[in-house]
Amino acid sequence: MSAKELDVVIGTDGRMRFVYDDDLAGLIPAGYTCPIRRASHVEPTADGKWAADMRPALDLMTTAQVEALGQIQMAVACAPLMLGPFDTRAEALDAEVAWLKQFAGV
Amino acid sequence: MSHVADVDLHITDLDALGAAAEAAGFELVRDVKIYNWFGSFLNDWNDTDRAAIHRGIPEELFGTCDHKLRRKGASEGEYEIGLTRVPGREGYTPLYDSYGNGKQLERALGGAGLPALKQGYAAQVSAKQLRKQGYSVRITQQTDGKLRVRGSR
Repeated sequence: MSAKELDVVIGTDGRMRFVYDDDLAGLIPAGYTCPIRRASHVEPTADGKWAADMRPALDLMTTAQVEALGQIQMAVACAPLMLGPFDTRAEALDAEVAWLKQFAGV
Repeated sequence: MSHVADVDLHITDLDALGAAAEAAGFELVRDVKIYNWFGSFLNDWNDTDRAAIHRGIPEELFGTCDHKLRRKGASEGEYEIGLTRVPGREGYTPLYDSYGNGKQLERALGGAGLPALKQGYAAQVSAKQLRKQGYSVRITQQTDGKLRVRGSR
C-alpha cells in the first residue's frame, strides 16, 4: 500500500480547513452542518488520459489567494486551472491535492 | 475530485483543551462554577469584537462557568478564563475579563479572542483524530501564522 498523507490547516480563529477524507470525518461535529464544497473535477480525456479541472476551487479561495494565482498565471503564461493530462487517475488526484495545498491553503 | 471542508471551532473535547492549555502555560480546572474576573458588569465597554455582551453572551453568565483555565502559578485572585455553556451555542465558550490583570491572559494566548488557545485546541483535536486513524502526526507553524497538522502513515 502506498503512503498516505493528510493535512489539516488551522487558522488563528481555530477554524479547520482540509481536503475531505473519511479519516478526517471525526473532525466534523455531530449534528453540525459543515460546509463541504467541491474543489475540482477529475475526468477522463478523449484520448484516455486524465485531467483535473481546478476552476471550482476558485470559489473556496480568498481574494488574496486568487490574486496570487493570477500573478503566477501571467508570469508563466499558462493556465494552471487545468492540470494534466495524466496517465492515471491516481496521478491526477495527487496533482489536484498538491495544487490545493499550494494555491488554496489547505 | 476533491472536496474541501471548512469547520468552525467548537470546544467540546476537554482533554484536547487541557493539552492545549498546558502547552500555553495554563491548567484546566474541571467542574468549577466560578472563575475570577472583575466581579460585576459595568456595561462601559463598546468593543464589538471583544466585549462579551456585544457577542451575544448574556450578562448573567459573566463569572459563571462549567470549567476554567488558570495560568500556572497564578496568584490569588488573578483573573481566569471561564469555559461556559452558552444557550444556543455548541460546546464551551471561553469567557474572560480583559480588564486589569486580564490583559495578561490575552497576551499569553495571542491577543483578543485568545487565538493561540483556539489554534492549540484545534491542533490537538486534529492530531487526536489522525492518531486514532493510525497516522503519525507533525505540527508546524506556517509563515502566515496558521498551523498545519500533517498525518502520515
